[in-house]
Amino acid sequence: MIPEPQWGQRDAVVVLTGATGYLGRALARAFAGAGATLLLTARCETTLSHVAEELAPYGTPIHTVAADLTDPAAGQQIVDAALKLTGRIDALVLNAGTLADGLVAALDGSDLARVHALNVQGAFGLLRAALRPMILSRRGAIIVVSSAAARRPNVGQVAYASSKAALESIVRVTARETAGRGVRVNGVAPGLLDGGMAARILDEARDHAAAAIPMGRLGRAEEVVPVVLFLASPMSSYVTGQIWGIDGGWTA
Amino acid sequence: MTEPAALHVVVDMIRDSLGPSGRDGEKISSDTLLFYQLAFTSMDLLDLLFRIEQHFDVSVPEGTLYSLARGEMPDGEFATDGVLTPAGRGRLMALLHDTPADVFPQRIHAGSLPRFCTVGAIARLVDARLAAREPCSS
Repeated sequence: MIPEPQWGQRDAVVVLTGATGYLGRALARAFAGAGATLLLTARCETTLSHVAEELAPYGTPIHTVAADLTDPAAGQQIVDAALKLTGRIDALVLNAGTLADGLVAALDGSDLARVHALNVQGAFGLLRAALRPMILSRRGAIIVVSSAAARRPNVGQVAYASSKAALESIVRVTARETAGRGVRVNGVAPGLLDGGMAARILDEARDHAAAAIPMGRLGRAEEVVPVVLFLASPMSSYVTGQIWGIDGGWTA
Repeated sequence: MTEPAALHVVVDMIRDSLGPSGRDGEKISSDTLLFYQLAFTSMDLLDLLFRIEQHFDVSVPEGTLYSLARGEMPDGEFATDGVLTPAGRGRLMALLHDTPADVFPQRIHAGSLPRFCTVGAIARLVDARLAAREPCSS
């Protein structure tokens, strides 16, 4: 008999970035449904408040902190807020991200820098700040949302793909450094999802994009969520430094 | 010589820092060398500094040992191209007076100074940071 999943999130404290986006909202619902106390971050305070209202029926504590992760001070501010509000951080989900499309020969360097400022520097700043309380408490799970583009980028994705590849290296190095301190660091690499950042290209090329995926369809946020929950849970207690592809076979 | 006030707390913290690797049962005294005898890693040291900062509510930023050893000596006289000068090496050895002289190599990279610390040196560093934050008495 297969046991029921034990997400282990009851009363756990989870910090989630990019909480107002397509995947972020789905993750917030799932963690709230599993009983976690949430600290949600995104740039827009108003949208964050709406997300918090949507989660109210779950009955778990929901905190919000509006922050722009491209601000070098933001990571520490978020961690300080989490520790003040909840006293600890059990899981950190780094989901915030942005993109800029353009051929390498034509891409403006400032676009590359803007994408890396959020996807790499912003994530790194928060991850680094969260490590201190996690190392001190000898526990913690960090889940980074990467992308299938890190392993199999498309034409025009140099800014986004390179930022996600950098994130995956950060995952592996951090995992090795903190494995002996009870902190696990993993990543998920979704393929093309039917919503969020990809929505605008899908309007133009949905069928074409789906045909290129071995499963013949786009993914849904709800198909990424269980992997993130697993990586945040005690069920993955011996898993660290791994990137989990969730892409319908795109990178197979 | 007077024992550093923070010594016993620091020893307990070192045991905590070594705990994950199962080395917390080692005999630890004031003159024990962190890296050479306890096989400290850079992660163990960071873990220890986190614990010191949390427990004592002091900041021990990177480069603290460098600053203490250099003192008032101009930076260019203390180290050149990231390596301690003979005078800088002498200052470091004076600061870490309980570390055996033969532990110090001739070329000491400025970023490697914690490698030569004893447990007592860390406790003295804590004492110094605590003294530095004491308000001036009138």
